[in-house]
Amino acid sequence: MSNHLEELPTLGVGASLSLSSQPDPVSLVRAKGGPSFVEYSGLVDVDEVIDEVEKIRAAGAPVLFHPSYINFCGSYPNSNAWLEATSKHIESVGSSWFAQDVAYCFWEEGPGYSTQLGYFIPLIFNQHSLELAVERVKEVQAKVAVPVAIEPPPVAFIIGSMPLFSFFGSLSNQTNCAILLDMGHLVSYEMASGRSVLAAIDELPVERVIEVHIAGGRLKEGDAGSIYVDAHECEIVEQTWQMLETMLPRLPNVKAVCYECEGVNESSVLATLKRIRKIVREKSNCDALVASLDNSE
Amino acid sequence: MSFQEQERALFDLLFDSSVRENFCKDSTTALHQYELNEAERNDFNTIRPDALELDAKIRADLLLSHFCRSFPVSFSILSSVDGGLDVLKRLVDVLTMRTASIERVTLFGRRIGESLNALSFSTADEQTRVSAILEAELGMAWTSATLKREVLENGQLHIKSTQLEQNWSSKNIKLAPYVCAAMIPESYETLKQLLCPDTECDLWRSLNKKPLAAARRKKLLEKDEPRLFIARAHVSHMSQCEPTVDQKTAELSEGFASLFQHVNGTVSVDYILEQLKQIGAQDEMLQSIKSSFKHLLESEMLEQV
Repeated sequence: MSNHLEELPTLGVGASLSLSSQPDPVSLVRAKGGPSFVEYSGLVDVDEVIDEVEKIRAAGAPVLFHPSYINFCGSYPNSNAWLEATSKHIESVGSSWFAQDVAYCFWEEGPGYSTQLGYFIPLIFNQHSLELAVERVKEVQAKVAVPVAIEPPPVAFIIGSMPLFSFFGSLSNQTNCAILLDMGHLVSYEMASGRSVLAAIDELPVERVIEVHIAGGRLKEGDAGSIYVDAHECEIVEQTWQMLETMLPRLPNVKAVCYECEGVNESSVLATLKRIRKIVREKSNCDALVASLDNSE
Repeated sequence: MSFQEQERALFDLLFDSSVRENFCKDSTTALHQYELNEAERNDFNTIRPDALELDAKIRADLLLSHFCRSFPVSFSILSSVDGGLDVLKRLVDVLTMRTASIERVTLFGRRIGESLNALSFSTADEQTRVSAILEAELGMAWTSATLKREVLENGQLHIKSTQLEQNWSSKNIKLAPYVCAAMIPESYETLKQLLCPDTECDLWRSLNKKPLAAARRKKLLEKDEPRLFIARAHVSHMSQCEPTVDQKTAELSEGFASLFQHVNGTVSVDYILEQLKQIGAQDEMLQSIKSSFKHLLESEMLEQV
C-alpha cells in the first residue's frame, strides 16, 4: 500500500449527516455511543458551512467532506473554480481525505451539484470510460492536498461489461488513489448486473480501501428482479448488512466506517451505530479500527 | 470508437422517453441513431429495462421537486387541473435537460406557460390569472438566472448606493436591474400560504399525494384583489462557483401599475405627481404614492438615472 494511505488517521465508526437538519450532528457526537467522526455532503463554499463544522469539531469529532459535484468520470472536466474551492474547503475543515462517488454530477459545461441531474448519472463500465476516469481523478488530485478516495456509486442499471472491481481496481492503481466501498452500492451493482462483486475481488487492491459506508435503502420489485434504491432515511436492508459482514474481513486497512443516516432519528442512529460496532469488532481484521472502538463505547 | 456517442445515448435513455421506450422494445434498433460500433452498442445490452424505467422515473421526480421550488404556486394550481401534474412530468425531457443548467429552470417555466392552453380551466379569466401568477414566478426565475450568470462571468456586482439625497424626487427613475414586475390576482405571500402548506422542498411530493382541490383553486382565483408584484434578485451569498440568489419582494395596489408604465428613465417622481395632481388627485393619495416610490428606491427596486 502506498505510504500516504498508511499514514492516514483511524477515525473509527462515524456518521454521515446533513449539517442543516435532523439528527443534529453535535447532539449525536455528544451522545453516549455516538459517532466518532462526522461526514457531511456540504456546499462547495466552505464559508457556507464552517460555523456548523466548527461546532462538530468543538464537540470532539473530526469531519470528512464528501460532496456530490465532482465528475470523477466521463468526458466533461471539472472547473478550476470548483476544484480550487474544494481544495480550500478540505483544508479549512481538516478533512483527512476526500472521497466521492465516481459518477456524473454535471453534464457538458455546467459544473454543479448532482441534484441538477436528479442525482448521479451512472458511469459506463468500459475501457474508454476507465481512461477518462483516470484523467478526471488526476485532475482532482492535482488540486487537492489530501488523498483522494473513489467510491463505486449506486446503480439501478449497468452499461458496459467490465466488472465493478476490475474498473475500480484499475482506476485506483493507475491514479494511486484510495477507495471507499459503500455496501448498499455494492448490493445495487449485484442486483443491476446479476453478478457477484466477489467474482472480481482479486482485481481490487483491498489494501487501498480506507473507508466503508453503510446506509439505508429500498428494494423495488422490477420485472427482472429486485432493484436497489439508495435511500438514507430508510432502514438498512438485510443484503447490505450481509455485504458488510462479507467485505469487512477482506479489507485490512479500513480507517473509517460511516453510517449514512441523514433524516434518521437520533435513537435509531445510536442503535445502528452499536450494531455496526459489533460487526466491526467481530469481522474486521483491521486492528487499529477495532482498537478505535474502545474509545467510543 | 465514440465514447461521446455512448454518453449521448446514456443521457437520452434517461431523459428522452421515446428513445427509452424504443430501447426497451428493441435496443438494437433504438441505438441505430448513434454512431456506435458493435462493441459500443453491446455495452448497452447489460441494461435492465425495468431498472432503466425506474431510474428515469425517480430522477424526473427529484428534478420536479427541484423545479417546484421556483414555481410553488404554479405547481400547486396545476395539480388541481386535470392532467396538470402529467404536463409537468412530460416537461422533464431532453429539451429541458440539454439546456444549460443555469437557464434550465427559466426554460422549464416558459414551457409550463406554453402548456397552459392544453389544460382545462373553469373560465378563460381563470386561465389568465394562472398565467399572471406563472409570469411572476417565471420573472423571478429569469432574474435569478441572469444575475447568477452575470456574477459567474464578471464577479462581484457593484450595486448603486441606496442613499437618497434630499432632492431624490426630482431625479428621473427607472427599474433597477434584475427586477421583475407582474400583476397578480392576489397577494403572492397569501397565495403561497394558502396553496403551498408544506415546505417547498416537499411540495412536489405532497402535491402528488394530495393535489390541490379544484374547488379551492376556483374559490381563490375568483377573488378580485389584484396586486402589482415586484421582485428584485440579489446575491445573498457570493461565490465563484455557486452564488446564492434570493428575491426581495414588494406588493403595491393595482392603481400603482399604471404609474409603473412611466418608470422608464425619462420622468421623475415629482413629474408623475404633478401629472396626477393636474387630473385631480388628492394630497393624501399623492403622499402615499410618493412614499411608495421612496420605498421602492430604498429597496433598490427602482434606481435614479
